[in-house]
Amino acid sequence: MSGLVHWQAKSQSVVALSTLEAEYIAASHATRESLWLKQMLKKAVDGMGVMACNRAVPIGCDNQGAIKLIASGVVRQKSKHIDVKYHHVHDEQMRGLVKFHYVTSESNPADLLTKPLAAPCHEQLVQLIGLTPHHPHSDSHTEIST
Amino acid sequence: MSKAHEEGGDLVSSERLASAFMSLGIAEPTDEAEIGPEPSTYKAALRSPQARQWKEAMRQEWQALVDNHTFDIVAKGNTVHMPTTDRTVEEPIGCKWVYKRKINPDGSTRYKARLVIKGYEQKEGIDYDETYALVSKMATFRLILALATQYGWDVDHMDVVTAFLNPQIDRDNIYMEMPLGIDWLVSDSSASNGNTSNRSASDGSGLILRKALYGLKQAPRLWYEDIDGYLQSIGFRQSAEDPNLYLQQGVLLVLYVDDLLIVHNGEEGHQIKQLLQKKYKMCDLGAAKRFLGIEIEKTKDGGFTICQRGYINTIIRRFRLMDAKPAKSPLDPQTDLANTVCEDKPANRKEYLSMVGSLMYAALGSRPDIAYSVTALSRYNIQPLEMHTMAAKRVLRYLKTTSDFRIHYRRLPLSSHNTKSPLSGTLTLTGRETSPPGSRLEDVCSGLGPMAAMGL
Repeated sequence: MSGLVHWQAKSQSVVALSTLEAEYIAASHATRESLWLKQMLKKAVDGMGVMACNRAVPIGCDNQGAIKLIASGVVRQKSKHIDVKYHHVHDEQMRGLVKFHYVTSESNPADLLTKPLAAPCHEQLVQLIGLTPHHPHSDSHTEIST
Repeated sequence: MSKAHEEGGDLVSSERLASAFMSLGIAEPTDEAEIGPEPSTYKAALRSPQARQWKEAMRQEWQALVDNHTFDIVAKGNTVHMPTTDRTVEEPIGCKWVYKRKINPDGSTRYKARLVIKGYEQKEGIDYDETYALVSKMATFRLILALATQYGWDVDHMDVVTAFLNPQIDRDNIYMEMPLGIDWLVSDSSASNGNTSNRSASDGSGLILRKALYGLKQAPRLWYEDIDGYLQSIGFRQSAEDPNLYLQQGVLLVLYVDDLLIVHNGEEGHQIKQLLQKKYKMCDLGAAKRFLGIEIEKTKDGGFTICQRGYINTIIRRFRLMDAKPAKSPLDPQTDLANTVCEDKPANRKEYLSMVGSLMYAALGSRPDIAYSVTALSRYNIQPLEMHTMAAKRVLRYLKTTSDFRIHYRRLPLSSHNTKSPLSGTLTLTGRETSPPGSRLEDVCSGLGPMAAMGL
């Protein structure tokens, strides 16, 4: 990874009835933010003689149910109440703009943005996102895979 | 660092300070105890030991305003036009002098005086309409920096000198009172350039504004419109994703009020700089080292790091936490900020808001590790308690402990299928998101945190 360019910690403005729904709404938000960055990136490099790549933006998510829902787009009993507007995530994945994949809750760097953590855990995730105390001379730090 | 010894020889703190500043690598701030605080009024400036310097600074500011044709002098009782509007020279808007000391790169002190209009006396609809001005998003700045790293583009910084004095004013009936010191200012400036407008200032005349002035409500907007128009006229296109990102062949420009980040690949960049300098008085600061309070450093591997060490030190001093205990994490997971059962004293709200605001800037700039804490703390902005102040101070102590933390933008090897041109390559983003469910009401609207990292 090169370096972190964007982050956001925000309370969701809607009340979610389940973890799945909360994750799904978050997935929608993450999708919109990535598309925004992707579009900006494309415009920025266009005039600079560089080709932007059209590969899907990989997005990590620690909820299997949400990933399945995004992949299938099939609404079941537990998810049938979710506002239709969030289903754009499925469409974007189908169109190849984003690609959701699973990360374990233990190694989810976004936990930094959602809850207070005890010092050891905090330090570990801080390192994972590449926030380091001084210039590292080599790429010895844990990389976030793409 | 000489005065610490005179103050009773507190060697420990003087040494600690010295090492702190050395590790900072920045100029030591002016010592207020030695040369006194910056004067807050005209009277105080003239009474201060540096009255001569302040007077000279005011003279320079006045001359700059006159040269810029910021206003004309009008006599009272001479309101020729605008019989329909309320604002007349008889009821002008006030103004005041603002004094600032700045440290030059060579260590010497510069005295600056600025004449500002009392914008709060302006009436909406009469003196101004729109005041909103756009600024660029931090993510835009970081994305551009990451791109520049990847492709080895130059990242230059320019700023516009007295930006707000550039635009023409949007109405012709804004009257301002004469500034204090006008007597000697007018006689000095007319003596120096033979100006005939040597109207005696004390005879009750006022000023009519022709251009924007600092403090004027609409000044930021007028300035934005001015530079936006110019940038578009010299071939820039505004990006729809961030209106403060301007694009043209070979040049990317991030605008932040009067700061410009110019990313370019050689020739085109110099042409743009010349065009900008043709229109505005600009300061070319060369390779960007500090943009919006974010320190940008080049690394050996051709990358950049960004950090806010200097900013963090400033806020630590502001809240007097220089000697506070270190903290290893921003928030204590054991502390329940929502606990309203225990009786707690209300906190000083003004100080609390100021702390949260100061933390916010770090969280937005280069410190995702405190982003959650700032969000959590700002839930109590309305009625902060003592414990919330303590929690905010802990975040500050954490920042102090980790003030050197930085984001490192590295150049990544181009992937094998894309080696045709040295400038071709691909970039992708990695997003992470999560949102844990919560048991408490405040957590039901659970946190959300997408993160994006650039990768190949």
